[in-house]
Amino acid sequence: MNRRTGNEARRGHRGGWRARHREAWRSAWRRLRERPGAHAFALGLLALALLALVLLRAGVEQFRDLGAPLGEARTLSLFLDPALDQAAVNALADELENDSRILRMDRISPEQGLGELLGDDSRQQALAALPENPLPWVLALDPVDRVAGEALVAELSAHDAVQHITDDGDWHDRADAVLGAARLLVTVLSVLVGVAAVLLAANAVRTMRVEGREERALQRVFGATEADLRRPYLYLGALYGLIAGVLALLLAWMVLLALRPGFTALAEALQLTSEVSWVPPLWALAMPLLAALLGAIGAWFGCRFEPDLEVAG
Amino acid sequence: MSESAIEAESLSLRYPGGREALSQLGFRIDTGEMVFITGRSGAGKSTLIRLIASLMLPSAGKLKVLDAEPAKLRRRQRPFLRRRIGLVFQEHRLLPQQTVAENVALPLRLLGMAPAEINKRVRTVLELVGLAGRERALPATLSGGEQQRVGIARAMVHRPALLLADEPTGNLDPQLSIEIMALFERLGSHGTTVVIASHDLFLIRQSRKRVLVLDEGKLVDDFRPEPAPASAPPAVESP
Repeated sequence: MNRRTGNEARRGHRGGWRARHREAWRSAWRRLRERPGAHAFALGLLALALLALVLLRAGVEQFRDLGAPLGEARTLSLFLDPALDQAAVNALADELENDSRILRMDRISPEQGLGELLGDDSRQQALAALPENPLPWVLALDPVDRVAGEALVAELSAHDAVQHITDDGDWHDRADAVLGAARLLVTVLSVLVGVAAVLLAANAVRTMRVEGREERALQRVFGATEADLRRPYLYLGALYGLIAGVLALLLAWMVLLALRPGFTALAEALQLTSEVSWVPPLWALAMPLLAALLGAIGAWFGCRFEPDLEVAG
Repeated sequence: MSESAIEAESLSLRYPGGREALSQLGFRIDTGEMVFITGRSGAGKSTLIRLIASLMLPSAGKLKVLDAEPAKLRRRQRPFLRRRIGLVFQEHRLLPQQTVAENVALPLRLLGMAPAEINKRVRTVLELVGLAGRERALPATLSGGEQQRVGIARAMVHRPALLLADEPTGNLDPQLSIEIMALFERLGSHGTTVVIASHDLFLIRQSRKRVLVLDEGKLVDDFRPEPAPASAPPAVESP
């Protein structure tokens, strides 16, 4: 028997695995270059789907950034019993100042409080009619964190000297809840957009496979395995994803550039220092890779839905 | 006794519609042997070639090709048997958008060969079939004979242990047909088993190789012909 010739085909070649993948990669590029116009629409659609994904995620990050300074400004206002004298107020204030759960504390006297109110023109007349200053001493506390804030509220509510506590952290909690819901919505939408990207890649690859049927039939005759036949299309899907991912990033950059003045104005209106945040570098790096993975998954589905006949020739 | 490249015992193939394409074939082809399969159109020549190439599976009987039984191989193992076989089609089946060199290189790419080695082998085999310098040509720019020679080069380039050819000279002029046959004989002398399905009795007689004659799917004769007389007609049947 012709051992030399038979063995060569049986063994394959040293480095054959690498060579086959290189060949599949070249084949994918060739298909993409052969008819760029035909791929432009599919690539554009895929890029738009991925752009939606980036913008949704960037939007949530933006709102989180805008909300963060507000959240840090959580303040507890302790309205003390008006009957307390200065010495009792100072004793309580000194005690709280030494509490490690409190970051900062301001003592607001009734006079200071009244002065602030008098600064508001609409209230001036009413306040002037009062026989005496009705305001109590107020201690404004900035807790170190949310847990400390909640513990202080619970503790101080039971304190005899404290008549009433206002916690502007409640507003932050509500904002957090809204942001959480938005994040969940974005996650669901992201999954849907991801599925759409996979389907787009699957359809593009399925169409390509219809065109390459004769070539695959020949490859099968000369000993191509199912993996050999599928591999170029998986690379093609990955290439689709990669190119669309890079396109989506470029588009996202342009969209964020256009939105920047509006967001900056909003931040200024809310007296926040935050600016429009760009797509984080890690995202920029991960995005095309993730898109390539989605493209390859789509291509795999495309191959499943456009199978070849087992026998050819 | 020589090793066998192909062994068939009670080999039959029935198409899903019920028509029996091959019936109870029994033969053995030794390694390095060159054998013609002949018969009228519809006799089952191409079907037998496809069975040997493991592109189809028998419905009954036993077929052993290069020490393997395609019917007993798993589906994912069959491609590795096909890599040891070269196949020449009557209708060339070249990829129109690929150059001559790319078409010829197809089996080598499937073997995962390095590009430099592929180029070297493709050049050598194209020289062998008389197409040196046509590497970059597209199939559409070649004549029928040239296209057939590209198909032959593609079937030989990976040095298969078994070369199957289905009417390989159907589109060639008599002189070129003789040259191609000489090429197949040279391959046989290097240990490659060559099986050619042909209805060209002139060529078959000329080559004085073993002939299997099929008629309505049955093996009706197995002989080695005498040399052809000088006045023999070029062909007995149109394709």
